[in-house]
Amino acid sequence: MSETKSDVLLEVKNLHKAFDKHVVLNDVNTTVRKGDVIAIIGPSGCGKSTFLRSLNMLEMPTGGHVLFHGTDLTDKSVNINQIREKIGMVFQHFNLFPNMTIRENICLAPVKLKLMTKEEASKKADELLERVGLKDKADTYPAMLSGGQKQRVAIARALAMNPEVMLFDEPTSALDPEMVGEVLTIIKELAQSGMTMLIVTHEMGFAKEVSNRCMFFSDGNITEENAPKEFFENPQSPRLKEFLSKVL
Amino acid sequence: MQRTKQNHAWRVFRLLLIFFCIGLSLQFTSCGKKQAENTVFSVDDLSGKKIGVQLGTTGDTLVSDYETDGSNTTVERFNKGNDAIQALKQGKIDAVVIDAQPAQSFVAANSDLMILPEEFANEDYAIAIAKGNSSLTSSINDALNTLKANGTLDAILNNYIGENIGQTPYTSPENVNRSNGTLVMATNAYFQPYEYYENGTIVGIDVDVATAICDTLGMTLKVEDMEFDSIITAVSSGKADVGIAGMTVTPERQKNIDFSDSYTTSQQVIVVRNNDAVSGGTSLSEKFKTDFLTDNRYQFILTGLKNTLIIAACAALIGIVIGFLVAVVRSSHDKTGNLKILNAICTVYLTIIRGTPSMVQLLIIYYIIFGSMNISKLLVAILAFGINSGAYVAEIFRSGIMSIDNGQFEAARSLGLTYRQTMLSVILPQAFKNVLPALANEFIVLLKETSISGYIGLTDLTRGGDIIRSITYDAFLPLLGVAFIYLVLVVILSALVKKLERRLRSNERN
Repeated sequence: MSETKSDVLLEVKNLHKAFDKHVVLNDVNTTVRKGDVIAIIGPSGCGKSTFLRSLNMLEMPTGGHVLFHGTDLTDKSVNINQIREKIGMVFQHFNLFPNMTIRENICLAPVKLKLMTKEEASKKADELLERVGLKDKADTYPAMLSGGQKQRVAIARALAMNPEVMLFDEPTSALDPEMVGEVLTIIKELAQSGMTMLIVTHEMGFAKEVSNRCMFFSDGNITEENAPKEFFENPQSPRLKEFLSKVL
Repeated sequence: MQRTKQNHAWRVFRLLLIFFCIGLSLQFTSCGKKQAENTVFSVDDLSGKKIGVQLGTTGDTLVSDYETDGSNTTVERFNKGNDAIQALKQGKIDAVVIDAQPAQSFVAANSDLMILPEEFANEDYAIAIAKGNSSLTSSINDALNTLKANGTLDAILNNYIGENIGQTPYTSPENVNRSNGTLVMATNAYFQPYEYYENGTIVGIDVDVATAICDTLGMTLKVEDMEFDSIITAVSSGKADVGIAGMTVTPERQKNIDFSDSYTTSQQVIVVRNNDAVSGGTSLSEKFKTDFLTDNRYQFILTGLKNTLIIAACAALIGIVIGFLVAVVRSSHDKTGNLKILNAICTVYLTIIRGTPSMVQLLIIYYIIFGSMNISKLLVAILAFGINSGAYVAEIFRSGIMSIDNGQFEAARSLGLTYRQTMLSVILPQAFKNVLPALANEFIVLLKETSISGYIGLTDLTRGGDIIRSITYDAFLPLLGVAFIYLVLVVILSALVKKLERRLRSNERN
């Protein structure tokens, strides 16, 4: 009991989100433990992305609670900026800052938030860029990179904050097919290093290979969750069966 | 790179040259044109014609009766007598009804004009004083009586009108004790010989009379030049103590202000084109000399240019500050829903400023908001244009902020940056780059819009040219010269912005 308690990173309790009258998330409950790699799968419009974005309050939930190390993020008195430093996020469209070099993109937050000096951040940027195979691009601008390279930089930028958990929101959906592999490889390596991750993805093979838990979202809730092998080879609910038959 | 730069400069220069040449050729074609036929020979002929007057003068009041009598008479009201005279010369109107003395000056300077022997009306000139200020009225009346009795008034009049012009100039007696304060005199210095510019200062009968009154009352005189139709407002709002501008006593005016005793009488006369006169054209170099070199008249342009640049630069700064603050308030409200009250204030500000003409705003700020305060006109103009420009800059900035993809905002926030840090280091730098062309356009508009500063009597570039025009009766060179200077300023400004834009763009090649 006590061992699992300290391992819990995120707790989602009765999470509810509606845009005006349109309900997107309806009473979602789950727990994310340290080292979990969770693949989130489901048809479009089912609330996967909204769920992910509710975890760091980019979308304010309309009900329920999200606890990070026991701190309720929906509490208005919590300094959400400090929590976000610990939750890295990678977006479908990369969202690099076009007016800054790659190095400046990576160093901006650590330096502005006074977590590192300029020199430390710059050194860290070099390390991270080496890790994602883009060391020679440090002083170019985002516009000169390919989509795959941009997404690798975005991952490095999120890692620069030394996050405890990483959220990936369809990281390969905006990429040309030949660039998907290079990004997935980086994420795989990250998973192997023990990083806790939640990944919204449409890459089923990747989900099966890299995750330890798979979640199926439909109609604003987790309708099925299982270990990847079971999830893909022995789906229970008719919705998941139907979905897998279409995408596999 | 060097080569293209040179080419660009040369292109612009060539463009300016072409512009100037077009102007010159226009002038020469107009020289060759024959003067329009005169059609007015007596007071009775005025009916059904186009009559020019100076706005708010007695001539205006008297001629206005023709407008409503069904005879199809058009009255064109000009801000200055000079403008009316120029319109008459160009055949745009048929006659000008104006005071006799300025009419004589006009005709003396323009051989192709003449005064009809039949006068239009007689009138008394008096000094306008704020209603109810009876102590000032009576002391001025006392002073006038003294000056009439000792012959000073006659001497002043004879110095400007009649056979012995320049023989009896008025000079203040020595050792006058000026302990009784300052007398601010509102006038419109385009009314020779009553008030006009000579070597950069305002002189004339009215100025001498006012000086003599001040000498008698122990006061210091301060002359303020403004539009004629603003004088009564200035006096009744307290911006000026007296209005002395060849002003006739009329019942309409007496409703708003009090008048002193009359200090002279004058006639309203009719000025028409004189077709018999041989119109000897003056050469361009001759014109250039009289327009700019004689009496150092280019000084009017230089002073005006200096004021225009000061107003435009300071107003642009104020505009950027106001615009930036308003844009941040408005877009923060749009994004987060906070700052409701501030946002409401900003919306009201934008609606009012963008919903009314800048000229009206300028006049309101000068005559109403700072109505009873003695404040520098330059400061008023800077404030008015700054506040005005702020509204446009705010919307430009806001559109720039809104044009930045929301993903940029989310990426920065997801890294733990605060709203403020996100705005300052991610959103605004990109927004600024996006709005630079629109911002440059706004400052070009602002620079040119300062040309209405003349309405509060400030000598800006446009008015500098107008003053020369009023002295030399030549519209061509002063107007074209002023236009040319504005054009050069705008071209320089555009080039600077282009350079800045290119430097900012070099960051990202997309």
